[in-house]
Amino acid sequence: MDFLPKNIRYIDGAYWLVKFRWFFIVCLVAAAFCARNIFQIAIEEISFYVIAIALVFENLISLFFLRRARNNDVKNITRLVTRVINFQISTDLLFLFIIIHYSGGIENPIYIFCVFHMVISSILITRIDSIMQTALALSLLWLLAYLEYAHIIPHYNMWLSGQLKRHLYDDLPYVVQSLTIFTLASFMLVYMANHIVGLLRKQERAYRKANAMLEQHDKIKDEYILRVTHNIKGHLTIIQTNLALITEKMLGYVNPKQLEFIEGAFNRTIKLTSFVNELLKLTQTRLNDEMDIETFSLKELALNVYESSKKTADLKNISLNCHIDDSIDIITSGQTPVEEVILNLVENAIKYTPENGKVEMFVRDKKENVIIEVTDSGIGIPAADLPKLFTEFFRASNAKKIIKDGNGLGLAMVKYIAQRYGGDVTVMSKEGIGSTFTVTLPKNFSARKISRKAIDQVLKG
Amino acid sequence: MKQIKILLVDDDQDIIKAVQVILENQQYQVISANNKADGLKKAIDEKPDLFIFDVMMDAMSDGFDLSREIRQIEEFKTTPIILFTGIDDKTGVNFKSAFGNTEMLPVDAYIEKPVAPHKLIQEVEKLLAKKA
Repeated sequence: MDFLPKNIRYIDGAYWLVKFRWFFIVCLVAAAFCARNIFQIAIEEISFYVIAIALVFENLISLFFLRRARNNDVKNITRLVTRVINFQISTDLLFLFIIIHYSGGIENPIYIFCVFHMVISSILITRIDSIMQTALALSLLWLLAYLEYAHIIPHYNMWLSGQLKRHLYDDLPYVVQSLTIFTLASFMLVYMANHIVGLLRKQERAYRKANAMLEQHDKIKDEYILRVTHNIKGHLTIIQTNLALITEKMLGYVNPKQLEFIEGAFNRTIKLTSFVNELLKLTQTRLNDEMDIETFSLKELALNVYESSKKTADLKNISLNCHIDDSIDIITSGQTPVEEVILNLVENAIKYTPENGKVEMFVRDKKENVIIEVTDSGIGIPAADLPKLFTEFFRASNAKKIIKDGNGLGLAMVKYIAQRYGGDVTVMSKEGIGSTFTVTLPKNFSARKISRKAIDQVLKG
Repeated sequence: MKQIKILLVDDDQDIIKAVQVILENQQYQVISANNKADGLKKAIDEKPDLFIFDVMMDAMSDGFDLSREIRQIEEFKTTPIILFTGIDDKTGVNFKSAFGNTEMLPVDAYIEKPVAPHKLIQEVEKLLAKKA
């Protein structure tokens, strides 16, 4: 399970506000234009356009500071982005009340729209900040009502208020009563929103903790598996060598019947050894905190795998082809792990493809990623087995029928490595027709990894 | 012709027994030791023509340390050394990351456990032929 670090959540929130504002600007201009030119409402069209332009500037300034915040030291990101969000919400409120002023002031119920700002600030920023924003919104509302009531600024009659039987903005009891109720409602709303958000955050922290605990337990389990497997391997090694001494007749003559049974035992130990080795490899990879990150030629690596698998394919008369995009060459990732991934997929494809079949490997260039795809004309995977395919020890029902003693660890390893190096693996398959495994890996892994790691460290501290 | 002498150092008595059978079958003389210190002593006393060490005995890197010490001795500068390994060996430390570049190690060949008799014989013959 992945949780979004706090500062990434802030950055997402800030960008969401910018995106929403672009949408609002378009709506505002369209509404002003339609009101004036289609519905013939006497509005100060120009003032709305000016506000739209001001909003464009607000967006540009926000984007500029967001970019600067992101390039800043990780420690400061949260603080800087929160500042940008506060700036956005305050400025939005200011413009909202200017729009309200030009579209009827207190007579136009559009002022209710500022509850959105209150809720958004409760979700995006801290409790104190959201209360400050709410206070700002309400102050602006009361100020506007007062300025219009006292005739310090003009009142615009339009929109719905154009058809009002009598004016409300200079009706003191009405203004005071409706604004008081709105003020009370606003504070209750913000209190509730903050409370709910607080509960959600608390829940998230609990999940985070549970997740960390599960990871810890998983590690203990892995260490346990490692110890057990290693112990088994130690004994197995001797059993296998000793049996080999007999099958290779180094200890003298054994009769054919005896030999048959010894060979049976010997063959089983070979299979058991290979299973134990796979399990050791997977467990060690999972336990190994340090990752190998090198710069190497993916093209060369893919061709090497192709060359070495070609022999296996030839034995079954399977045509193995390799297509590599011209632009594919040097990448930064884990050389041995990536080789393991490709080898696993190609060997698997050959294993589960009947004689005279076809296996194709593709290495494609896709922006900042490489796509490694292995397609076969094999037995395919039953739809019911697909969701569990990458789970340790799982083997598809039809795979078990063809090859009795696979260990069900290869694909688990592929998935683990792919995800560890910032990518993933997916599968598409139709039983009886074939399967396609697609691995996506970032071309330049180290940079991304380090920044994420730094962020996580800051969050922990 | 003088019989070829091989020094086998491994802390597992069962492996010594098995490897002894394999090599003696090929008319080699096999001397064995159970640990690093004993191995070094026997090397100096017996002056073997080839060494086989287990990579991990009492300590993680005993096989490597022993190889390095053997190489320090003038008369063993070119004597072939074979190392028994489990590539993904004990305690979960990867071979490569634990010892750095394995090409830099003073070892001529690695044989992964479980030892396959014919493979061991092949390797021994190859190294002895190269030396001669």
